[in-house]
Amino acid sequence: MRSYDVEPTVGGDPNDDGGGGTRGRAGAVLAILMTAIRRDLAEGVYHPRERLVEADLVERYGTTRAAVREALIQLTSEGLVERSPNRGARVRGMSLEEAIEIAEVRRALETLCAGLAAAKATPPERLRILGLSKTLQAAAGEGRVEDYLTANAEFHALIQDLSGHAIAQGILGTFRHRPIDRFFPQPFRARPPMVSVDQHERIAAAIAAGDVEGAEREMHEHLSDLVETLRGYEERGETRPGT
Amino acid sequence: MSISPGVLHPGRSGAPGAEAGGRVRHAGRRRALATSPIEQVAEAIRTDLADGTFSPHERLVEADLVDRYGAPRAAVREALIQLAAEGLVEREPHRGARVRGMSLAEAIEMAQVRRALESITVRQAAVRATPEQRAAIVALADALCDAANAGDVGTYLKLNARFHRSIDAMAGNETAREILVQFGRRPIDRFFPEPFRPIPPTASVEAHKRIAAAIGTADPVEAEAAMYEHLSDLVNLLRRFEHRGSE
Repeated sequence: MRSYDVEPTVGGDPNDDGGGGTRGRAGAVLAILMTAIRRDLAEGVYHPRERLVEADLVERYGTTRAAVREALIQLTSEGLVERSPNRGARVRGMSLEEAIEIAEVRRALETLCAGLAAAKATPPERLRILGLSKTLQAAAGEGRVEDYLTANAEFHALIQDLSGHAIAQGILGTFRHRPIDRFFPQPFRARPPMVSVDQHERIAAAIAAGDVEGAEREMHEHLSDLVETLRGYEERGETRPGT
Repeated sequence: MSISPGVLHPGRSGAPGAEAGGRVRHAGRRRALATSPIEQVAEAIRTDLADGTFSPHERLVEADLVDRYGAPRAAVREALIQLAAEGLVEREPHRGARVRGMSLAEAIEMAQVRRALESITVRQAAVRATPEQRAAIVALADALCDAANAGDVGTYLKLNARFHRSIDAMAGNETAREILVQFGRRPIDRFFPEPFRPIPPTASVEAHKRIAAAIGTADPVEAEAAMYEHLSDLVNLLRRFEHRGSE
C-alpha cells in the first residue's frame, strides 16, 4: 500500500483555503495573455523601448484590464518590460554590455548543444541539419535576407533540439524573447553572409559526421564572430552602433 | 532566471502538477526588485534551500513557514507559488508544497551548464580581479585544502560553494551569474550525496588550487582550462554514478 505523507490536519491540503477555483480561472487567462505577449515580443511586434499602454493591450489581446496589469508586473520581473513611475511601461531595451553577456552565454551553451547533437543525432536528423545548411546557403546566395534570417534561427533551434539538453534549451529559449539582432542589427547585416554560411556548413558537416569536438569547435568559432563584433563596438565606445 | 519543471523534464519530476511549457523567467539582468513581503519570504526560502535547511522532497507547511520567517500567511502562500514557477518547489492539489526533487539526468545537465558558464566567469575573473580578490581566492583554496585534511566535511562543502560564488561575483557577466545563482539554490550534492563520498576527493582540492593560482597570476587561459577540467570531473562523477551496477 502506498503511503502518503499525511499532514496532521483534516481535509487534505493544509495550504488550500478553497480559493483555488477562482485563482485557477484568472490564472488561465493570464497564462494565455503572457504567452501571446511573449510571442509578439519575440517576433518583433514591439520595438525596443516602445510604450506599452494598458488600454491598447486590453484591446489588442481582447482581455481584461486586470490581466494586463498583472501581465505587465510579471513581464517586469522577467526582465522583458521596464516600468517607470511617470512614463508607464515600455519594452526593455538592451545595453551593449548585456548584449555581450548574452552572446557569451549563448556561445558557451550552443557549443555544448552542438557537441551533444553530434553525439546523438540519428541518420534522419543528420540529413535534416545538412538540408537546413543548404537552405541557408541558397537564401544567402540569392540575396533573400529574410529567408536567410529565418533559416538561420531554425538552424540554431534544430541543433538545440537535437542536443536533447532541456536546461540549456530552457535558458537559450528565454533569450529568444529579446533577440540580440533586434537591439543591435548591424552585426547581422554588415558581415558578408558567405562567411556565416561557410560556418554553418562546417557545423552541419561535423554534426552529420558525429564529430563532437569538431561540432563544438565550429560552433564556438561561429558565435565568436558575434562576441568579437560586439566587443569591438564596446572598445570603440560605440554603445549605439549604426545610429 | 528560472526554468519551470515542465520545461526541464515534463513528467520526470514526478509532480502531477508540473505543467508542460510552464512559465520561464528571463535570464536577464535582475532589475532592482521591490522588496515586497512576498519577495522577502521567497528569498528567505531560496537561501534556506541553498543552505540545505530543507531537504529534497521535504514538505513546506505554510503555518511552519509563517512561524519561521515571521511573515503573513498570504505572503508565504504567494512566495510558494512564485517558487513553484521557478522550479524550486512543487505544489500538488490537496498535498501542499514540497521541495522539488532532482533526477540524475537533471543533475548531469546542471553540471554541464555550470561547466560551460563557469568557464566564462573564471576567465573574466582572472582578467578583472583586484589584487585583494586574487589573494582572497588563493586563501580560500588553501582553506579548502585545510578542511579536506582535517576531514571537516561541513566546512569543506560550505567553502566549496563560496569558492565558486566568489569567482562568479568577480566576473562581471551578470547574465551568467544569475543563471549560476539559480543553480546554487539546488546544490547537486544535497540531492545526490552518495557520489560525493568520501569527501573530499583529492582531485577536487588540487583543482581549486590550480584555478585559484591561475586567477592569482591573471592567466585566463589556464584558469579556464583548470575550471573546465574540474567541472568535467563532476560531470563524469555523476555519469559513473548513473551507470553504477550496470556494465
